[in-house]
Amino acid sequence: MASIKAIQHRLENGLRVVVSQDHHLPLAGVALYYDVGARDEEKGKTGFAHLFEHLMFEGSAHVEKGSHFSLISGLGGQINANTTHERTAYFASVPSHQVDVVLWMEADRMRSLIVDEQSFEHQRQTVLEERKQRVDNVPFGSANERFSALCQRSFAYAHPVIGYEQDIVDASLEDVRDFHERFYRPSNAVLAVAGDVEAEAVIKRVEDWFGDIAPGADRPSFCLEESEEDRKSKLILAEERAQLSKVMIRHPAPSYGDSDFFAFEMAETILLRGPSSRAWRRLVIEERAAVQISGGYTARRAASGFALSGMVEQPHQMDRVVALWQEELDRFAHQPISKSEWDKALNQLHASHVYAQEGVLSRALSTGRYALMLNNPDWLESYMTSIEALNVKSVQEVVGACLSAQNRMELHAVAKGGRK
Amino acid sequence: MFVSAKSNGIARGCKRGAKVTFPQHAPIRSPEMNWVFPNVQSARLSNGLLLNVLTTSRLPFVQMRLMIPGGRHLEPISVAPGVGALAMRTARYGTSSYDARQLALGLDELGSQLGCRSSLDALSFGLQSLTKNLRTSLKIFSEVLQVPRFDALDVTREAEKLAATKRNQASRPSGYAGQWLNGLLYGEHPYGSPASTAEEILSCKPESLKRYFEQRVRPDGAYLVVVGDIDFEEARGLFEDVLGSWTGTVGPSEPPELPVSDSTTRIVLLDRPGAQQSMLFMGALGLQRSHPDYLALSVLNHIFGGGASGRLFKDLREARSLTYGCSSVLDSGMWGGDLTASLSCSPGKTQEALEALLGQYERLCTQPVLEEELASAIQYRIGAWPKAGASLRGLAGLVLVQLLNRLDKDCWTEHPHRLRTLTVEALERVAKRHLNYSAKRLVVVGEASKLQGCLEGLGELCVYSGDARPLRKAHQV
Repeated sequence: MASIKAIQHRLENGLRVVVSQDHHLPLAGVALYYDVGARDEEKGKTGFAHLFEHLMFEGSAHVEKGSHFSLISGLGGQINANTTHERTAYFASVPSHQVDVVLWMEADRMRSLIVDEQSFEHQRQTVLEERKQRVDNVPFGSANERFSALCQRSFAYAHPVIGYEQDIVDASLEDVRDFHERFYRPSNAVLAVAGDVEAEAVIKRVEDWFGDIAPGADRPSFCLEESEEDRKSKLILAEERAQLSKVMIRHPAPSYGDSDFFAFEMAETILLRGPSSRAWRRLVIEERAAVQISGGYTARRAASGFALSGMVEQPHQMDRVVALWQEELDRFAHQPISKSEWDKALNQLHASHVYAQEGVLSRALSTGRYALMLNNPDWLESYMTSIEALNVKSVQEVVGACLSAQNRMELHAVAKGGRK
Repeated sequence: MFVSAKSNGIARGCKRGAKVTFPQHAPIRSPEMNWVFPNVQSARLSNGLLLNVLTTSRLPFVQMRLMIPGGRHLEPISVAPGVGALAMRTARYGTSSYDARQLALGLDELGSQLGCRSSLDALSFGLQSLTKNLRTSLKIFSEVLQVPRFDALDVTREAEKLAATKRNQASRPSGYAGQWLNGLLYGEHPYGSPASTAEEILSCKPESLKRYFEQRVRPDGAYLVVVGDIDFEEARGLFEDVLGSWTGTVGPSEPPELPVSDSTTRIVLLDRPGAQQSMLFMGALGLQRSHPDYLALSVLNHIFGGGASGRLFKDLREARSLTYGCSSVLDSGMWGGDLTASLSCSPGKTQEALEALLGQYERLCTQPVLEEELASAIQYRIGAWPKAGASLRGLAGLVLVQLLNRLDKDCWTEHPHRLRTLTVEALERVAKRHLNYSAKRLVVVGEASKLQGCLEGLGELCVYSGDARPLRKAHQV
């Protein structure tokens, strides 16, 4: 399998450009990441990063309000955006001969975004509807938010990306302008392009169209402020409409760049990946404590976690799920892992790594993400080498230290409509 | 960098004296079509199974799909409801040679992924494997097809899990809205039959699952599609070797005739007191996938509610902020199909959202689309066409659509050309022929006391409790 190395370039104004050439199909993917997310928000002003993502579709000097979708779809492409705690991404896939249109559109809204009271109000209403649809009107929507708040010691990661309803209602146009001024800078962005393109031509276009945008002031540095206050480790909520109860369990885990990252990837594979994984076998098949489980290792630049959630028929099974999960974590840390199980996990990771190489947009998204998070767009290229260098003992040590019962947080959402 | 609407779009943050003038218009190039759907080679194996191979060796893995005509739509007329779904779900838990644990372990050790599912029109088995592990993975796959174990313990456990999931459906905001809409659209036809209930699932016995598998899961009449890093001759030898001894013929799979939709708007209102949002579902009968008008209707659907450039999104979200999202889906099966649209909105916006949705649908039914809308829709479909080749799963899916619906063999190589031949007049004829505004169906979920007023007068209205599920007709049991 041929490796595709990313070609990197940095403009004078600080914009980082990453190009991966893949001529398999006449397609191109473009991902523009801004290093801003919900973690950069203040108390009382939550939801700004996400609201701003919506406002980026309200038009710029040469692109009419709301025409981004029709412009790109008219070429046979697709465009969208999303926001997390750590970054905001704008991405598109197009026939490769139209890649300049996406670069032009992104340059235009980086240099000349237009937002007025009317468009601001329009997107505020849309986001309020989105919040109702995703959080307020669905089972466990509120429980998920409460669990996130329970698990995090910092406000930065504790509040929801979509923001609290009152903060969205209270947001002002001035707040938004200030947010844009601070974060929507070329020096705070990574532009990744992948697919049937020539790197030299892409870089020239980016120089031409983004190069004269002023870098602006450095973005305010992010500082993780964690509370040292004692806090609860368990929360019990009532879920009025639900027929099944849900238990959510989480341990803090290493973040991107931490040398223990790969140990947790291996732990996730052995515990949770595939129908022969330990947790699936034990909790769902053998003990039948849960109807369904999901979870895994979620790495970020900070405040990362290792989590499991389980749906259960009867509320008392939630304690059983917690106990069995902790037993499996302890067994992983303290009892031998056979060579065959270790090799199985290596094979699973290798196969997943191969399967994940399809698609130019996913390549643009991953090279851009790792350029932003780890300053290394080719980070995935060395992923398997790092995995293969692991040894059982050290994995058990680092995982055992983190995933102990003392570090565990849990939320029990008790179904009120379920069977007693 | 950030400019207000009053500042005429001047790029305030840009450096003076830049060498290159920023273009005033999008640098759109002329459309190009430099991708052709890859060649598919076919052969019938000695047991009647039709093997279809599409070779692409960019990545060292293979995606395989076995499709057997006759899915959930057969359940109401051939077996007890839920037997098919439960059989497909439980098939992966052991065979005559492997118990459930050994089978799971065998696949995970190879990094292979097995899927078994029952859809409305067909039973589907999927396997994804690294090329180097294909033969070994295939041996396990072959056992799942031919000698599934259906241990009582596994059947009971999977039935309980599936039943719990079905019970939980009532807690979702949409609840059983989809099933109500299907019932309104298809009446007593199997496509309109409600999905199996938790109680029906729990009453299924291992013997019925075994019998179902023996009757339905057979090679002669089924389609096998293999896509990826394997050439035709190698595939033919391998599959003949591993699956050649599997015998039997797939039973008949044709359901009864579809109903003729009457010209009455029928509405079901599902009462959910205290709901934060109302949910609106609108539907109308469409076409089976093999109908000659399908392509034109699919373009009409794209213009109506196909994503963020559709009329629904532009009107209800972008122009009026009534909803986070509103889109439509053209779902066409082997024997029939439907056009549906849905959205969620605050209770206070329901009346306006409903009027906007129905207004757009009436416009689609009665007025020709604009030339520029058609041009944009066709350009989207043609431009996006190479994406069909971006994943092995996507390629396998298209080959199966052609086989299952008996489309002509060059349907995919000719696809861009056929799109280009569509005209406004042709779409107008298709809309008039197949879309009748009066024959629409509506399901609305929300607080009935606030919603009933805006629904009365639109058609025949029935109000039920929010967690009520549609009943199965006597002859469908």
